[in-house]
Amino acid sequence: MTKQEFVNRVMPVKDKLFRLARRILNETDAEDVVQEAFVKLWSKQAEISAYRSVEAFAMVVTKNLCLDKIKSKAYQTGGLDEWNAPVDYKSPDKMTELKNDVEMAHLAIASLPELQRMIIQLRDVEEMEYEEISEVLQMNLNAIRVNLSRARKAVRDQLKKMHDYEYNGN
Amino acid sequence: MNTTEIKILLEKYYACETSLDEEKILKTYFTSGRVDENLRVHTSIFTCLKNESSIKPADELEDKILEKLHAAARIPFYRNRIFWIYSTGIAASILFIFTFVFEMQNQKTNTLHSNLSHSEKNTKIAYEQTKIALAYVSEKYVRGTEPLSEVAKFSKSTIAVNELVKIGNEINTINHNMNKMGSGVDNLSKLSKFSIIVKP
Repeated sequence: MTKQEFVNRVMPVKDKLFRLARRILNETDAEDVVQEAFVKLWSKQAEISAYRSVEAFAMVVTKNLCLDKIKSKAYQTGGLDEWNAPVDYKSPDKMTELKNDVEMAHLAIASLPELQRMIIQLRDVEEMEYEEISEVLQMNLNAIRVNLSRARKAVRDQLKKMHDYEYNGN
Repeated sequence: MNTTEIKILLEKYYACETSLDEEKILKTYFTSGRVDENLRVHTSIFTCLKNESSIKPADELEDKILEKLHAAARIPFYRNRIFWIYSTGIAASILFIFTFVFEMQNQKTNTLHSNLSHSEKNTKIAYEQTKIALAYVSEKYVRGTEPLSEVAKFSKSTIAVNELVKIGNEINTINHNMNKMGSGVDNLSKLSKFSIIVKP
């Protein structure tokens, strides 16, 4: 595979890799990890064929690099930098309210264990099939479902508590 | 989709029993802006998730990646970290194998030496024991052969008997010859008688 072919094949995945890295690391480190992942993928081209897709292999490499990085330092994930409100919420009050809610959801997801965060990212953000997630995380399907269910419920319960506290004062 | 249906789908969603398509329906519903006020918590979750999926890295990231790839391609193989990791690994393995083989050889030689010295010691002991045993046997043998001197006398006497037998045989031969001579003399006397008759 020539370098150009490699770039054409792998470059489209860069946004997903960045989002996965950002789910675990801060923005600067996420960018560094994605660059490192590309270099690693280039040097391991022969292994790509062993995976279902280039995307799955790229995800595995990025995930491992993120975990390596997180082991070496104490990390705090980034906050909500970009904000795209749905069209119907353009009234200032509603938008501020929703932004606040989404910020809380973001915090709730950020407070989850690393593995659960990754599973939420792959399923609910990147919309990957369970089989693909299983390949990326090298876990069985049942374990993924169990962890995802726990993660989703944990986020829901945490948000309920925050809402109750913020809007009802309970 | 009405609120009841959405609630059912939500139950499935939290139990991880929804398909990707069903999850897309939920996402679309909760980001539509026409959501039941009781489901506000879920709105924030799905809006957050949708928001997350639209996040993109800075435009410069692609350039940075390409730059890194060019740099990686330019690095000579011997300056590559992976090259050194593999080389060190291979060298260490070879060294380990050599050390192992050498150690095994050494151990074998040592065992052989120790076995040899052990067998040498054993041989000496065996030799001493054999010597004692043979001395004992020879002592008994000598003692046992003493009565055989009488047998030697017997053999001497048998030699004398043999001599006598020989002499007897010779005498017999002489007798036989004498007899022959006697008969010869007889014949001669007969012949002399005849000549007397024949003599005028």
